[in-house]
Amino acid sequence: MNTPHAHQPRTAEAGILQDNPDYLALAVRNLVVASGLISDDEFENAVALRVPGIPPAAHVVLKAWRDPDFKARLLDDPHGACAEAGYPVPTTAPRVGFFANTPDIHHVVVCTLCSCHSRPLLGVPPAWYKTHEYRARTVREPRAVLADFGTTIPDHVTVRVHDASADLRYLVLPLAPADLATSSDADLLQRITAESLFGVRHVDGCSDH
Amino acid sequence: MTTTATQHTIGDRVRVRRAFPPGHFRTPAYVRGRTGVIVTVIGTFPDPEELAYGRDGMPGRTLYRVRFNQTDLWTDYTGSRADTLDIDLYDHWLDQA
Amino acid sequence: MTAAESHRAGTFATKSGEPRRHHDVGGLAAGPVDTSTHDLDEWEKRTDALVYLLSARKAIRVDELRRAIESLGPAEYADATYYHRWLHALTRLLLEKGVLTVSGLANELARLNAHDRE
Repeated sequence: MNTPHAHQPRTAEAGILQDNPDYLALAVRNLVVASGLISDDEFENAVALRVPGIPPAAHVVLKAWRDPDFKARLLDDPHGACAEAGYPVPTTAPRVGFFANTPDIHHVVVCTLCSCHSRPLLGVPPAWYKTHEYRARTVREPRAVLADFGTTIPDHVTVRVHDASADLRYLVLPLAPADLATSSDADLLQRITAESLFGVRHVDGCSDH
Repeated sequence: MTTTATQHTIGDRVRVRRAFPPGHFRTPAYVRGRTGVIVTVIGTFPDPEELAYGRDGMPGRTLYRVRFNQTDLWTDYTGSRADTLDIDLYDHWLDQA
Repeated sequence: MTAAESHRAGTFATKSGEPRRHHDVGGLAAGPVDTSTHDLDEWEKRTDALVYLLSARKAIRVDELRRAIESLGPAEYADATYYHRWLHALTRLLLEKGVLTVSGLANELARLNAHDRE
């Protein structure tokens, strides 16, 4: 077996090897690379990418905030607009859609059946999005779930939950913060978090609805 | 071997089929038997229930975005009465209401 | 039978009488959401990379992986974390497809264990 970059798992623990995820993930990885389906370099590059960072969608949101015409294009043709912004969704990836928060309506995204999300636009989603609690409760008591995140939506604002049950992956276009005009791009990008893109929090500095 | 499902248009009231089959599906239990409104005809996609077993899912099925009032889904809903839930459902799960 | 035929057959109750499958959790009562974030462990990154690279190669489809996760069974589904489910389901799916063999997997696990003990 030629695995020049095979990594070593942590110290072996008592127990069944195949139930030890360190061993199993490494074994599967090595065998898949040995089969020729994926190259060693491809695999290592992919692992190296899986670190926290600014979601690509944050750049798209920022452009929509700064340019109302782009925002209209984003809502009408999200794939065209994301490509225009320099963050294309591959044609092999699931279709995406954006829902814009307004003073009258607040959107929240969940996938109750399995935690679907747009990987090209979001990167690795946060752990809470995949929890049983989020998947179970968001469709039934979205306002209470938002309260877990410290977010209160007034009664006069409609909350619309989107269960991404099929082949489309959804993101929220959050409300722009009050200091949009005077804030730098770098500062704003830091504030467009996965929480705001799934609709569980406003962007920091956003005046309430 | 495929059924011809009713095709719907925007504004149609639809009821989700009250079937609870084993196997892979993309229609959650909480909408079964519930009535909502078609808000978008999203398009045609290969049937995920077939893709799940390695078949090609063709001819595809029409996917709809259906909107439900939360107060129609949950008897104990505590949010605003105007709150809604949108979900994408396949044609063979939707009957004319 | 096809999925469509199973629809026409009507309602199936699970052994518990609950007409829903164990992964179908929308609307169930549950506790507060743990809103904390944390980085992925190395094995989780490997699992994640495997799923996406194999999907891009069309060696697996996301629908097949979902079905495999749902097939883990209620006990394993409930006890395992998200990436445990992915890893176990992916492994079984790859065995089904012949990308992995049982003996190949056994040999590699033994080899890694022996190497680790050196």
